[in-house]
Parts: sequence; C-alpha cells; structure tokens
Amino acid sequence: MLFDIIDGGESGLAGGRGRLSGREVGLLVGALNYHSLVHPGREFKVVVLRAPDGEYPRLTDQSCHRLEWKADRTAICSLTVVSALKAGAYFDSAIMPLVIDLGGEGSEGGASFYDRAGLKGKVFKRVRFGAPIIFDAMRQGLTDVYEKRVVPRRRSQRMAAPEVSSYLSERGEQGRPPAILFGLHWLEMGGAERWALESIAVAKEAGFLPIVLTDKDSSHPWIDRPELDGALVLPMSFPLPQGEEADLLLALLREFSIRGIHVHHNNWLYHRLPWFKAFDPSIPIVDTLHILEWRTGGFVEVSVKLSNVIDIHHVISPQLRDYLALLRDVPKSRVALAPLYGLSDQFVPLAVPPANESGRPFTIAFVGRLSQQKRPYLFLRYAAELKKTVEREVKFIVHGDGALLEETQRLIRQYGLSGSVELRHPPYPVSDTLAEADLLVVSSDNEGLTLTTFEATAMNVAVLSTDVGSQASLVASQALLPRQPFAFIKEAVARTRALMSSEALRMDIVAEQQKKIMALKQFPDARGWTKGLYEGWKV
Amino acid sequence: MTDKVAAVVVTYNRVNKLGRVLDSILAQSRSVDMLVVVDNASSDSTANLLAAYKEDSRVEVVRLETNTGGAGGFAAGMERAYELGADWAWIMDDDCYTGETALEALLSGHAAAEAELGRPIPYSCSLVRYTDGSICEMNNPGTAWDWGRLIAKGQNSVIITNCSFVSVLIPRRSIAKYGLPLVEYFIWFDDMEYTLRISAEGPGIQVLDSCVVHDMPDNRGVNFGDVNFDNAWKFFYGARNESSYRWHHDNKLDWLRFVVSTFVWMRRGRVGRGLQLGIAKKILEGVKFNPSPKQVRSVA
Repeated sequence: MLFDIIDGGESGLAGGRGRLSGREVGLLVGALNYHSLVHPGREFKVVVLRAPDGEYPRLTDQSCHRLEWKADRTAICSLTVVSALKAGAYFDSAIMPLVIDLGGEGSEGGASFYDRAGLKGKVFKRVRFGAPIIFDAMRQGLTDVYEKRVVPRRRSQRMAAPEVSSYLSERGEQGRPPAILFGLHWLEMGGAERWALESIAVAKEAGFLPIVLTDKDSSHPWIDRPELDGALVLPMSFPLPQGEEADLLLALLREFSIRGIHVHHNNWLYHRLPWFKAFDPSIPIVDTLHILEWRTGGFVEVSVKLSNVIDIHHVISPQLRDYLALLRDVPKSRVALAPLYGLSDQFVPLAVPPANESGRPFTIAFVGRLSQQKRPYLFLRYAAELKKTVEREVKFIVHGDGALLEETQRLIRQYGLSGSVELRHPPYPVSDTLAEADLLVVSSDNEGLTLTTFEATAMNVAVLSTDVGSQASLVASQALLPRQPFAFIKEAVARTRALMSSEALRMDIVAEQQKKIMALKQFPDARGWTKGLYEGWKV
Repeated sequence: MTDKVAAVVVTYNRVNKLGRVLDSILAQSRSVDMLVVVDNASSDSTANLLAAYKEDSRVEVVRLETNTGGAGGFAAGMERAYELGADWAWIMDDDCYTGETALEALLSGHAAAEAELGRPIPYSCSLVRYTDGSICEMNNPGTAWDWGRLIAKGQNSVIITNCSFVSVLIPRRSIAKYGLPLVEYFIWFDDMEYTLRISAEGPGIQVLDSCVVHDMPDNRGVNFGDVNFDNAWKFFYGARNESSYRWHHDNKLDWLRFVVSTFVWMRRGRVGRGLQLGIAKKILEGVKFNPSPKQVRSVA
C-alpha cells in the first residue's frame, strides 16, 4: 500500500471486521493507491459510498473530488489516510477530501452492442432477442462486408518511430523497486484476463512488483484474486481530473524502476506508450494480442497503429502472426508467436466407451461464457434441429454462465429442449462435462485459439467449430463450419449425424486435432516465453 | 528460425517424367523443407510412383478427386503449403527438371533484389530452358520497362511483369495478401493472372542464375494461329480467361487489343471459321466470367 492509515473507520483496512467485502476492499485500496501516487505526502479524508447493483465504481475520476453524490448512494464508512510517498519541495499540504464510490455488485461485462439508450435501443433489443438467429444472420452479413471490404482498406496512420535515444527517467537512483507495468481492460473473467493474471504471477516470481492499470468500468470481481496479492493495482475510472494523468505517469517513473511494460488489453495505456518510449526508450514495451475483431479492429488495430513504439507483439495464434507480419507489414522480427496451450499436454486413452457401444445417449457439449460472442442461442437452435432429425437419443450439455443466461433458459423451453439440455454453471468442473461428451460444438462468431479445444482433444472429444480466428489451427478441416448462422446449423447437423453414425470418423477427427496440436507445439508456450522475457528485464 | 520452403508440383498422368522432377527437387543444394505433390486425379500409375516417396518425411501427397486443371492443382498445393506454415511456395509443373542450385539461387536473388529495390518482391522465377538448352518459348516472362535495373547494380536478375508457373518462388506474404490462383480458370492464363495480381505493389523478378528445364513435347509458345480441333479446348479456356482478365482487371482498350490480335493470329494461321466462332464465343463468355480468388487461412 502506498498510504498509511490514520483512522480506518469501519472500512476494515486497519484490520478487524469491516463493512466492506474483499472485492470492495480491493477497490478502495486501489483508489487510495492512485490518489497517494498523484498527491504524494497528502492526507485524505475519505468518504466511501456503495451504489445499487449494476452501477460502476468511481475510483479515480473527477467525481472523487465532488462532495455530493446521487440519492441512491449509501455512505458506508469514512477513513483518514496519508500518502506514504515523499512529497516534492512545493506540495500542497492541505487535507484533501475524497469521495470514493465503490459501485454495486454485478456491474461487469461492459455494455453489449444491443444495450443502447432510447427508442432505437428498445427496437434494437426487441429484434435481437425476438429473432436471435435472423438478427445474427444480418450481423454476420455485416461482418462479411467488414472482413472483405472495410478491413483490407483500413489503414490508420501509423505512429512515427521515435528517434530519441537518451532518457529522462531517474535510472541511477537506487532503492526503487523493480516493477513491470501491466495494462488490462478490467479484472473480470475472460481469456485475455486469465492470461494477464498468469503473466502477473510470472512477474512476481521473477522478483518484480507488478503495477496493474485497468481502464474499463467494471466492478472488478477478480480484484481480490491471489495472483494480485502483492501487486499494485490501480483500477482507474475516467475522466481523470486535469493534470493528474501527467502526475500519475511521472510518479510511476519516479517511485518505481519500471523495467518493462506489458499491455494486455488497455486502450489508455496503449495511447501513452509513445510518451513512455520518448521519455525512456530503454523501457521495453510488449503487448499480447488474442483476437482479430473484424468489425471494430479492436486492440489489434490499436497495436498496429502504435507498432513503432512497441518492441515485441506477442501473439497467441498463427492467424495473428500472419495478420501482423504479412498483411500489416510489421517486421517479422517484432512478432513473437507463443500460443497459450492447454495445461494438459498428454492425450489420454479413451476412458468412456463410445456412445453407440455403451447404449448411453450421444452427448454434445457447449462450453463457454453465455455471451454474444459464443452464441449459445445458435447452439440451441442447432440442438433443436438435430433432435428433430435423429432417431437416437441425444443429450446436450450447456456449460457456462453469463449475460445471456436468461435468454438461454428461455430458448431451451421455446425450442422444446427442456428434457434434452442440461445447464451447468461454474464452479462445476469443465473436465467433468468433457468426460461425458462425445462431441464439443464451438458456435462462436469469433475466437482466438480456444482452450476448450485443447482440453477436449486431451480427453478424446471431437470438436465441431466455426471456422473463425485460429480455430483451423486446432480443429480438423472437415469439422470446420461456416460462421453464418443458417449455414452453420445446416452443416453442423449434417456433420453431427455423420459422426453419430461412425465412431471411426469421430476418432479420425480427434486424431487430426491431436496432429494439429502437436504441429502447433513447435512454437514456444506463452508461459515459458513470457518467463524468459521477464528474466531478460532483470538486468 | 530459418525460413521453410515448400516445393509444390502439380501432376496429371505424367508418371514417366514425374519421378525425375521430384528427385531433382529433393536433391537441391538448399534442401526443400516440404514437397507437396498435387495429384490431379491421375488415372495412370502416378499413385504407385508417389508411394515410393512415402518414406521421405518432406513429401506430402494431396490427391484430388477430380482433375481441377493446373489452376486448381496449384491453388490446392499452395493452400496446403501455406497451411503447413511454409514461408515460401516454389511451384512448378510435372515436367520441370530443376537445376541443383535453382532454389538456392532463387532465394538469394530474391533477397538481393529486395535489398536493392527496398520493397517486397511478389515472386521470383527461374530461367526456363528447353531440353536442348535453348530458351523455352512458352515460358518467357514479360519484362518490365526498367528490366535492367538490377543488372545495372551487378545482380543477375531481370525485372518482370508476369511469368508462367514453371519454377516460381512465391513468398508467404503474396499468398496471404492476394490469395490463391483462380481455380475457375482451370487451365491457361491462370499463371499470368496470378503473377499480375500479386504484383500490385511492384513487379517480380527472373533470377537468371536459377535454371530449370521444361521437358515439353515441342518448344513452341502460345499462338492462336495454332488452334486446331485437337487442341481447341485449351485455347477456349485461354480465350475466356484472358478476355475475363482484360475486361475486368485490365482496361477495355487492352481487351480490344487482345480480341483484335487473337483474330489476326487466327487468320494468319488459317484457323477454320467454326473454331474462330468458338473462340469468339469464349471471348464473350469472359466478359461475364469474373471469379474471385480464394483466400488462405493460417493454420501453423
């Protein structure tokens, strides 16, 4: 912590039972660390608010300095702390009042594309949830236009390469803790975030202090995860008060020996990289890219724009490597492919006898977040169509949780699948679901390399997947399906029928999955690669 | 990591020459990392011959269900090479005997040209000889206006606008950016269309130190004056494909020039009226015919 507690009030920060949950304590500590950095040496009188569920925390923005709040906020405690950082010669020693709004529970996931205000939003939402497949067909049509016509012409001006070779940061000063600056979207469940937390743990193991910046509104449910113990977490809310951005960046360079910057998903930090590179060109900068977003360009587009100030682009799939090096002309030497393999490398012998031999129903699983990207509604429509056309008993397992849970439950009833679909939620182990499955169906409209395909392959489960992202690197060529929903349903039903009638075909598909994964393993594993990278930042 | 080169050979019922072609590729001074042989549904003993190469881990045979022509075969082979992670596809016909240093010279010539010209080179091709050592008439590339630019700098390479698919080294970047040859062309002009398409950012080169031999029955170039009832089917594809390219991707004046020159050649060659009419129909068909290239996906 970058502050000393004078009076912890009922927050529980000073020890003992407080009024705040573990997550709320994490948010409060993050906010106070931020304010202690930008106002070194100052004393803060802090009022802590709690908001209704679904409201985002306000931890670092201008509202922290306004001494009024909305009627639905409840003041739950107040405390006094003082920044433990040494103030400069000219600092304001007056006590600073702060209002920290910790938000409510369940404010995660950001806003979906269908969450829009006004009448337009209402109509949009009505169509989206009234006819999900037709709506999706139109959306995929739009994606096609982007993929074929817009993206190839998308060429934002690339940031010019800096020519600075001297540095302004205080490198000679001893005693500052060696640190790595991490940029994350938010601290909640997601593939990129899971990997970001792993890399933070690797940084700690290598002896660095991880400084974790987030720039996206969220209740940050992962803020109290053990990977973040000992890290300096700064969950930022915007807009920052005038002048505080510069104070923050200068304070980070003054207080810590920044040995590297690793951007996972963080727009704010991305756009400050040119400043870092100009300020101190010796600080190595790396980003990790997971997925190509055809419609918006996503972080890949931002990364390409800033490529001249990024030393290495770590990519997790051959698709991204080729996109950067071949289609966007980023020098090959600055693109490192190190996939995130599943943790299980070993393919296990078939434990469960095939469904057609044991008499048990043929079991088809969907594993993943119940989100727009994963399209659980499409899986259910496919399940309904398949059920109509096969005589054998089929069991479907939908394993996941998320924003579309309610829609999923409704569609199960609407499609007449109540007796055939079993809904499972975390913490039910994915491995148990895969152990029961003959087939895993990935219906996503976009992906990187799905970890579930690694897991399924390790358990001899055949995978049918949309041909999106780098799924072709893992899934058998005859098991790749079109992204467009109607074509997906038709093809998926036909191929599932073929698989159900031929165990040999199912095993051929599993064998090709294994072969592809072995071929992919010629590339270093992301974990090992990152460890080596951080080791190099020690000197 | 060193770049991986995949040689791609498309074959159809040419078992007598194929073995020598494959042996010459596998004996290169700069070894190929992969050799993708596309068997275009051969009905002779090609499969037996290819079985003898099973032991060599570099060799992968792609057997197509139907004969998709040179265009389909090259598209399938290049797609496979790309999916296997090849940094380069070195493509050729099944009657192309490669000189021992052909690949090494192509790679070094390509790198030297890129360094000199300061831009990516879309492809490099070899000097193609006939079996008697003379130039192979069918495989003369078109030269660029500044063809001698590299020679002036001491390099033994010529800047070219297009070439045929006989020993062409294509970098992965060109395939990623511009896709595969047009399968729908089936045969003829697929190579010219492809090399022109991938030259959008600048022309390719012919590396004169890289030599191959094209073992054709006769050393003759393509000339519409040679159309007869036996070979008309090939000329029909050629007329449709070139008409399509000139109309849709070149300019209308060049299309007109192509039409006029085709009929001048046929008249000079005393081609019968029926065949001339057939060619005319194919030229008109080309105006409506405009296939799109298939794009590749990254697998490894």
